[in-house]
Order: sequence, then structure tokens, then C-alpha cells
Amino acid sequence: MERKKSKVKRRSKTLQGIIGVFCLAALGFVGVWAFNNAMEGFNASKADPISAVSQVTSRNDSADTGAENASSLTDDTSVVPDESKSEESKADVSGDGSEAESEAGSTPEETEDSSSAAGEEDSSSESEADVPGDTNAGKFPTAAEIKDDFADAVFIGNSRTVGLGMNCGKPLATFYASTGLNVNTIWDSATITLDNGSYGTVFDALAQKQFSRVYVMFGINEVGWPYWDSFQSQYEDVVNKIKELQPDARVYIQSVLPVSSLAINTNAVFTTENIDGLNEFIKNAAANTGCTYLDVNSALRQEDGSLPLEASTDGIHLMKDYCMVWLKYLADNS
Amino acid sequence: MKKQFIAAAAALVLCVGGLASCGGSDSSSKSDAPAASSAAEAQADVTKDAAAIADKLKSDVVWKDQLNELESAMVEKIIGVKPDLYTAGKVYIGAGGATAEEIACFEGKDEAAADSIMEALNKRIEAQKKAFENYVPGELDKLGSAVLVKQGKYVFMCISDENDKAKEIIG
Repeated sequence: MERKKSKVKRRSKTLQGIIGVFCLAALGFVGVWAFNNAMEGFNASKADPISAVSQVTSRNDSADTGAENASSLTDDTSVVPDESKSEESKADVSGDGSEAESEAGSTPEETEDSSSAAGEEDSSSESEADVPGDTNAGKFPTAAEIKDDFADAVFIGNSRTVGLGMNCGKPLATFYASTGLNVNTIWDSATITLDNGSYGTVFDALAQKQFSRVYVMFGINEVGWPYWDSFQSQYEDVVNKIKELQPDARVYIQSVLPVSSLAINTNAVFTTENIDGLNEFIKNAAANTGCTYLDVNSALRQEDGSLPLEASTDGIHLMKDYCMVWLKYLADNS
Repeated sequence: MKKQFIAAAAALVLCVGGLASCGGSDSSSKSDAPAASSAAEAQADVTKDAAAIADKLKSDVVWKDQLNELESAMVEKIIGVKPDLYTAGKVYIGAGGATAEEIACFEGKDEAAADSIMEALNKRIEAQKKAFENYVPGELDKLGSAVLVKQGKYVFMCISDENDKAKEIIG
């Protein structure tokens, strides 16, 4: 009897063991299944295609009335305080490029907004609608608000004008501008893309077609010249050449835009006093050539005559919003 | 005996249930397979978001200049890329004149279009080199080492001082 009982006990223990193993196996299966399903679900969500957000439309008739765009850049700040004292017309003053190394980076990571930074008064900015990404939405004019499309106009100048061309949102306007261009180098500097795709001078480009309006701005690269009367004389030569090539156009001579205190970091010649002084000579050049003088400087200067700090990262080249203020002044006054 | 039988039956049910679940997940994964492969195909078709990459380049790379988005109507005029070449894209430009810093990312209509976009951007870089060479030599370094890559129908250009970072973002 005892033997029978122990046999049964042994048997039941064995059976219990087998059942236990089966249960563990079952749990194992369930666990693995759950894990697999969870991984599949995760992978499926990662496989979803990313939707491409189209930011740039593929239709537009931006024209480009002549391919001569402002893409030839320049670095304006190649003003050279030429100590040579030569004063003949077309004195060769070559930019040493030092100013060009503007340490533009005072606020490099700024967003599109330009004037949020300092709360400084910004100059005459009318402003309405939104500028994309501009935290000062509503403070500056937009391309859409400036009704003048400048389709009949050409802008001639240095890198500040290049910047205007890049940021103004006026695809029908023409820009013959180049970084570092001045009233001396304009005669020989072949940096303008012509209609045929080759490079030529500003005058080569102007010979291609007629415009109704010509806006000219030089001076920032010449403010360090030792003789401003020489600058004035050369500027008049340039304007007369423009008038010869564009006999029916209204030619506007723009004052040099102000600079902010940051510009001193580029070159000590960039002071409000120098800018204002040079503008007197530019005004004379306009009068002597029978052209209209447009005081765009007044649209962008603060009370002390300087450019607002937030208008430029290097004190010289305007950020987009301030380019629009400039453009609006031109639209309203010409 | 009865208890043992019940215990054995319960164990069997668990095992069968587990096996069935695995089998079920296998079959469900089989039925999901077509969806997964089509998602993979779709992923292969749309591997990049040109605009998003442009945004990331703008936000993650350190810039000297302030970059602004270039309006679509100005892209051809300033960068030289015709609108009929791409279906999506984004361009950021600087204040102009101070630096040559720029971002241009496009999804071309096809690979041939992407080739044309590459050509246009190469011309843009050469034009910039010509513009800056005598006046801001420092920018020539950037232009000389500009990141310009084509990946299938995508084209990415980034002119900055952080080429490695740019390449990492573009992928």
C-alpha cells in the first residue's frame, strides 16, 4: 500500500513538472508574440513617408527682363583710404578688401526679423503686413505693399544695391550692381552678367536696352578717398555716361545710406560724419548733371544720423526689412 | 487524477493559445507585408524634404550673415534655377554683399532636371566667386568649398563656414 502511494506521488510530481514546463513554454510564446507585435508597430510608424512641403512654387513668370541680375555681388566694404594723394580723375584707388572682412557676425543667428533686437527706433518705416518669419511683422513694408514693380527701372551700384536686388522681391526690376564697385572701377569691372550670358561692365549692360528710370548709388566704397572733390568729378563722369546710354531715362542719384556703429569694426572711415559729408558732394554731382537727388539716407537714419543697429549685421549692408524701407522711399519719391 | 487532467488541459490550452497567437501575428504580419513594402517604396520615392533640410541648415549652421527666405518669384532671377525644373525647394540668401552665405535646396522634377539645377547652382557659385574675388577674399574660401550635392532628383547647396555640419544635415 505504501509503495503504491509513493508511486502515485512520484507520478503526480512528474506530471506537475511537465505541466509546469508547458505553462512556462506557453508564457514564453505569448511574451515573444507580444514583443514581435510591438516592434512591428513601431517600425510601421517609422516607415511613413515624409510629406514634402513645397515651399517654392514652380510656376511663375518672373521674367527677368534681361537676365542681368544683381547676382554679381560685391563687397562694398572695400573702401580704401588711399594715402597716395593722387587726385586725377579716375585715380586708381583699389580696394584692399580689408574692410570687406566685415565681422558681420554680431548677431549672426538672428531670425528674419531685423528690428526685434534692440528696440531702437527704426527710421521711417511704414509698415504693414507680414514679412515672412519676421518677428516685427507689420512694422516694415513688404514687396506686395509697394505697388511699383520697377519693371522700367534699373539700379546701378555696389554691394548695398546688390543686397537691395536680392531682398526687394521685385523680379521685374533690373540690377546692374557689383560688390566693391566704385566710380573708378565701374569703367573696367566686367562683373555684370549680360543678356548673352557673358560678363561685361555696367555700361556694356546699359547698352543692351532702354529704361525709363535709372537709380544710382555710389559712395560707400569711396568714403575713405582722400579727395572727395575727385570723387564728385568721377561720379559726374559716370552719370554723364549713363545719360549718354539712357538718353530718355530719368536718372536719380541717391545719397549714401547711413551706417551703424558696427561699421567702425570694418573700417574707421565709416562714420556718420563722413557719410553726411560725402553726401554733400553727391548732391553737388546730381545738380551738376541735371539729375534728381534722392535723399534715401533720410529714410533710414536715426536721430543721430546713424543706421539702427538692428538694420545690419555689419553696420553697412542692410537686412531685408530695411531694404524694403529703402525701396518704399524710392517708390514714393520717384 | 481529475485534477491532473484539468491541469494538463489548461497547460495545453495555454500552449495552443500561444502558438495560435504567434501564428496569428505571423499571418497578420503577412497581411501587413504589402502595406509595409508599399510604405518602403513610398519612402524610397520620397527620401528627402528639401524645404525641411533648408530650414535645418539655416537653424543649425552658424552664419555670419542674416539669411532670409528668397521669394519664389525671385529664385530664377537671383539663383538662376528655372521654376519648371523643380517641384519643391527653398532658398535662403543673405543681406547681399557682406557675405556669400546661401542655402538652396531643391527637389527636381526628375534626375535630368536635377542635373540642370546643379548646373545653374554651379554657375551661381562661379558668379559669386567673380564678384567677391577682389573685394572679400575671405568669402572665396566658402565659395571654393561650397557644399553642392545631388542625390537622385534632389540638389542641395550650402555656402557657409561649416561644411561638415552642412553635409551631416543633408545626409
